[in-house]
Amino acid sequence: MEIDIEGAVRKYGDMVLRLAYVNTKNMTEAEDIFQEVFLKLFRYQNSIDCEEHLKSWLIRVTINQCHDYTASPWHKLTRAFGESEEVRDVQAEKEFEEDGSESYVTKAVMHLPLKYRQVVHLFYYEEYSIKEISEMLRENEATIKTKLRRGRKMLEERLEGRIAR
Amino acid sequence: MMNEYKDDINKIHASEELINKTLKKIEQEKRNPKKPEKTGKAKIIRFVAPVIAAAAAVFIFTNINMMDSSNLNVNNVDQIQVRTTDMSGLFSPVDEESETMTEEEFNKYVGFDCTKLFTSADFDKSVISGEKGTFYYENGDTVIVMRLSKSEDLVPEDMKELKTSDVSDHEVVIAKDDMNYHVSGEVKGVKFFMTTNCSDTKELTRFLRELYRVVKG
Repeated sequence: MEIDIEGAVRKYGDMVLRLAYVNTKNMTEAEDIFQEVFLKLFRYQNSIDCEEHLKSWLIRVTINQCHDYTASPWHKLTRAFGESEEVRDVQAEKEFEEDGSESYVTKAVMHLPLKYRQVVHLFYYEEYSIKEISEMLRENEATIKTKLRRGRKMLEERLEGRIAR
Repeated sequence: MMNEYKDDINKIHASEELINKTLKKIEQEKRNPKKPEKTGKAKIIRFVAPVIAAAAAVFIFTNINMMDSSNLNVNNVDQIQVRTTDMSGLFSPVDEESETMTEEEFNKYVGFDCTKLFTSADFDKSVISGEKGTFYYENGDTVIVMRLSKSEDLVPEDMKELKTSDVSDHEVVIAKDDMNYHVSGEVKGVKFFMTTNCSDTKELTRFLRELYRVVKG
């Protein structure tokens, strides 16, 4: 498939940046990941066969880039200074908390552990089905269902029953 | 209620600056595509190569073993626990009381340029908090995180109990967990704690030799 790279950057740029931000909670890192993802698109464009494949490819590559970022020595080292499970840009989170423009729901989602936050985002925001998410993340459907259920439960607890569904 | 989440996330947009920066990088790569591995002269050396390669392999293997394993103790560890007070400020709270130096001020404080510690890895970014500086380098897929300070408490306690090694006439402690190498040592009176995902001790010692060579001038 012939890919118009600039068109793809403009069409899917927001999606990639939002997903990277939801994963890393750090806009600077999200922007780095954004650039890496589209450089990879340029390098591997021949492996994409249709528009729908392009979108799911971008999502998968973005998630993989986020994993690489969280597995890097830089992240591991800084994580060791205070965070046990995943990256928490406390500075950014503090600003996020102080910024009154985000709703309680958004704050609650951003507080979820990464594995649940990722699935919640893809399900509720990108509106992918459990089957599609399982294909994208290369995990079985039961695992995705469990993650979604646990994510929802944590959201319910945090929002004291004010959550949808 | 998830509509509120959607509304908030919808506020995030890729700026024109970010898009242009990305397109520029792509354009650069278009102009300078990564060169494939050289395959020329393959036919000529096809028959001679195995003989030479075998001889060279024996020679190199022997010499690398002599060079690298003679003074190197790699301590296998589950994890190196860094004290929570050693916060870098990037992903953890910065001590607001501590003054933060600029890169230039930090270089003056330690007495050498921390953005040029390695010849084979590129400096990327730094975080300086109080008297501790963290400098991030990249060499392809290999990343090096260097923490430097004159402060005694830079080196994690876990490192202090381990066997020492000798690299370029400097005493260092090398630890390895499931993903990374960790090295603590001293250069020009400044303590360092380095973490890297480099592939083996050969690459690690190369970085350390570079560090000592560059800093000592």
